[in-house]
Order: sequence, then structure tokens, then C-alpha cells
Amino acid sequence: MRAEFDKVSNWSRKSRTFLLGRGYVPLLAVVCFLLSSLLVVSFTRLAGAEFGSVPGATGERCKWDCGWYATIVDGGYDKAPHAHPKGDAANWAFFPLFPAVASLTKTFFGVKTGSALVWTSKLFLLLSFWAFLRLAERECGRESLPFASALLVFNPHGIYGHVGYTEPMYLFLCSISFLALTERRWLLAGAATAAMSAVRLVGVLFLASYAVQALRTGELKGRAAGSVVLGALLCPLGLAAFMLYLHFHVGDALAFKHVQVAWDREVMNPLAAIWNGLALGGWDRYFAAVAASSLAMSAWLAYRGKLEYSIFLLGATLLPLSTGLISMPRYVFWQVPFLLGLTMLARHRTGLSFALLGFAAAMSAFVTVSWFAGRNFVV
Amino acid sequence: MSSSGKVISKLLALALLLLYGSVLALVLSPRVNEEYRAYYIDRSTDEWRPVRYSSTPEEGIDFSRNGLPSFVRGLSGVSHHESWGRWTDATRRRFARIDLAEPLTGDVCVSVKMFPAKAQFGKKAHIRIGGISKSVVTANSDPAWYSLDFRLSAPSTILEIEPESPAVGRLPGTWDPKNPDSRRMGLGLQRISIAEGNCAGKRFE
Repeated sequence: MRAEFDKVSNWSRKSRTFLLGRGYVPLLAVVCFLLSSLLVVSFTRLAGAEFGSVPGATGERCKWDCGWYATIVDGGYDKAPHAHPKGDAANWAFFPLFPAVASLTKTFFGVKTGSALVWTSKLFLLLSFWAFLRLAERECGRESLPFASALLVFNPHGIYGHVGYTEPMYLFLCSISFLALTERRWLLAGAATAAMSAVRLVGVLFLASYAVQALRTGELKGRAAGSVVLGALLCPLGLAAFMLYLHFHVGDALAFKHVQVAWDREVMNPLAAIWNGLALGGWDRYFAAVAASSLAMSAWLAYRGKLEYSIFLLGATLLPLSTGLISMPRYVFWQVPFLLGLTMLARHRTGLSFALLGFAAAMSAFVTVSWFAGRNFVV
Repeated sequence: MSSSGKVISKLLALALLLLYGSVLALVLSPRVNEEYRAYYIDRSTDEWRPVRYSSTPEEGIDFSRNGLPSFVRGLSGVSHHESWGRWTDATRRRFARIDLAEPLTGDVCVSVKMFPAKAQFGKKAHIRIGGISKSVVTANSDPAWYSLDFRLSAPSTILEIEPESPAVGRLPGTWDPKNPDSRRMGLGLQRISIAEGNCAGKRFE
């Protein structure tokens, strides 16, 4: 009886530590969330003063990809393609977990679809800040938290946390997956990855990080082998469930991939995409530079022995890059290994910290204003 | 982990493996129509629900017009519409394929107005219907009519045209990142007419 009590008590203590870490991390996450929201609201007002036609209500922030998620919340997945001038676009490209949670938000709070999507993304923004800061504290130490917090607030493409996109949910689940992995909580890592693979396709690539960590710790042969294997098998569950649904709904389990043609996304050599972007100039050059930075960060993480982060970042960069440069900054600046790598790089380098944060803050303001001014390079 | 926990864990693992195996099998056997397959899966056409215009097989397909005539169900293996017509594009499919709404049978005269890309000069173009293949030599860059007689013993709805030497149009050393045209062009198709009977005495313009 006593042993059982100790076991439960120990489990409860471990869970509490996992959830809260040291007391200041949740508080820091709340402060970061408020500052990030303040930044967006301030620059939204500035954009409104300069360009007019800036959304007033929360739901009006929901556009572009958020608009597609709204179609899923309102009417489920399309039976046949219908949108875009050619009529070849459908909402199959958008993964189900985020709109599913937004549906619950809509039902629970009785709000409009756009508002439900924006609120859901903001809720996960707060959770993702907490989870990422917990991970940063664990991987880089307490002294890294000021920079990590500032990076979250001034994320150059942080606007996506406030406008009904999946990025915050993805960052949250990815941080939880890595956090669980570092603590060898295999089933939790597998379950979080299963959820992540139902948010974005790249989520399933976490299986590679999982495999690296399982091999490194040697637990694949130990007493925890059963949990390690089951956790690994859980990783693609979200993606598999979505594919199964698409097969019975549309007749094509890979419809989410095939419909990309409606956005002119076709498979190409990712390195050629970078080279072409650098040669073209303008925003293409910026997109290519961000993608190249992500690959460089992956190499640096591998050099530092952080292979589990390196391999995930490599895959999560190459996969979208192999269909073109569009949206690359959004993908890269919401990747846990990239943000964590920046935190590691800046940890003991004050000059670099200020340089990075200066760039991030300037870009963040510019991207926020551009978003509300309707510039489509931020899609 | 307790022994019952181990059993549950193994059963769960087995169920997940079965699920992934099933999903993989479903990936390999999509239940979609030919139009969906050609546009989304094979990428052998860039036409999705094209504009339709009225025309009979004898009046033919006018590739300089946007869209497809009503007697054609689908078109693949060709590039996008241009003011003069369309290129066959081997990056999409080795041959141009025309799916007809009604089957052809008996004596059929197929006439194609086309011109070869540079790599195709003096090379053969193969035209196939219902397992019968015939060839013509595409001489130079001027568009010309090529007429061929077919005697079809079984109904067929598929007409294929295959250039012998499709090649990337742009030349080495002239690569321009702003114009990444990677099409493998073989034949410039302008018109195709399909008439009953043989070609003797028929004139095409």
C-alpha cells in the first residue's frame, strides 16, 4: 500500500514538474503572451492609421489560410474541388486538428467561426510560449530565458500566432514532443507527435528525432523497450487517421498532397529552389536566405551533438522547400529547433543577442503592418 | 510495466501496424476518376474541367482554341494552351493522349496538323489507336497535315501521339532563373481531325 502511495506521489510530483517547471516559467509565458499581443495590437493600429481598412473585430483577422480553416469548421472537408479561378482548389490541404479544436471553441463560446479560429490560435500561443520556455530552460539553462522570451515576443513572423493559423498549436505540440523526448517519456512524446502530425504534415518527421533519441539512450533494449516501440508507433497516428478519412471521403488518401497543384506547388529540387530564389532577388531572396539559414542551423545543431533537433529541422525545412519558397519564413520561424538553436547561439553572446533581436523586432513590426495592409508575401 | 500492461501494449502496437498497413494499401489504390487521376495524381495534364466548345470529330480539335471540344473527354501529355496550339510535353507523359467520349471503330482517317521541335526534325511521330500504331516523319519546322488510315477491329476511345525525340526546349548555357521552362517538347499540335472511312479524297485545312 505504502509502495503504491509512493509510486502515485512520485508520478504526481514528476507530472507537476513537467507541467510547471519552476514557477516563473508559466508567469514568463503569460508576460510574453501579453507583450506579443500588445505588439500586434499597436502595429495593427498604426497600420490602420496609415492604410485604413484594418480589421476591428477579432474574427476579421481571419483571412487567407484561416479562411480555409473556416470552411472546414463550417462545412467539413470538401467533397470535390471548387475554389480558385480553375476550380481546382479544395480544403484538403489543411490538416484537421486545428479546425477541430476551433469547432469546439465555437460551440463552447458560441462565437463566430473567424473568432473561434483566432481565439484558438491565441490560446495555443500562450501554451506554446510556456512549452517552449520550459524546453529552453531544460536545454539551455535558466540564463537563456530572457533571450528565449524576447525571441518569442519579437518573432519576426509572430503575427501568425494572432490570426487563426496553426503555427501556435504546432509550436506547442512540437515543444511538448521534444520536452517529453528529453525526459524519456516515450508514450507522451508519441502521443504529442500523433497530434502534431494531425496539425501539419512535417509533424510526422519527429519520428526521426524519436528514433535518434531511442538509439542514443539505449532504452530500445532495456526494460522500457515496450514503451519506446509503442511511442514510436503512435507518432504517425494523426496523419494516418487523416489519410484514412480522405480516402473514404474523396477517394484519395494523398488528396492533401495532390491538391497542392492548385497553389502551383509542385515537387522540385529544394536546393535549386534556394539557388533560384537567391538569383531572383526581392522577397524570393529573403525567403531563400531564411531557408538557407534553417539548413545552416540544422548543420550547426548536428555539430553541437543535438542530432534529434538537427534531423527534425532538416526534414521540416526540406519538405516545404521542395515545393517552393512561398511561406518559408513562416515555417522556419515557428520551428522549435530553429528557435532553440538561436537561443543556444545567443546564450553567451550579448552582441549577437542584440543583433538578432534588433532584426527580429524590426521584421516583426514590418510583417505585422504588411499583414494588415493586405500584402500577400506574408501569406 | 505489468504483464497485463505488456499485453495491452502489444495489442495496441499490432493494431497500429495493421492501421498503417491498411493506409499504405489505400494510398496505392485511390478510388478516383480518370480526370482526377490525370490532373492531380499523374500530373499528365494541366487542364481541370476545361472550357468546352462545340465541334464534331470531323471538324476536329483546334489546339489554338482554349479548352476542348465536346467529343473529347480528356487530354493529357500536352503543355498549356498557346495562341498557335499546344506542345506535347514528355515531362507530363511520354505521349499525348486524347480520350474520346465515343469509341472509334472500323475505317478511320486521322489527320494531324503539327510541326516538330528542333530535336524532332526528321524523326518519327507515332500515332496509335486501339493497339494499331502508324508513323510519319516530321520533316521541318513548318506546320503540315499528316493523314493516316486505321482499320479498327475493336472499338477504341484512346488516340495517342508520341514524338520520337522530345527534348528540353532551352539550350545549355542559356539558363535563365526567371524562365525555368523545363518542358520536354516534341510536337507542336495545331489541329486533329478524325473522320470515318479512309483518307483518300479528303482535304484538310
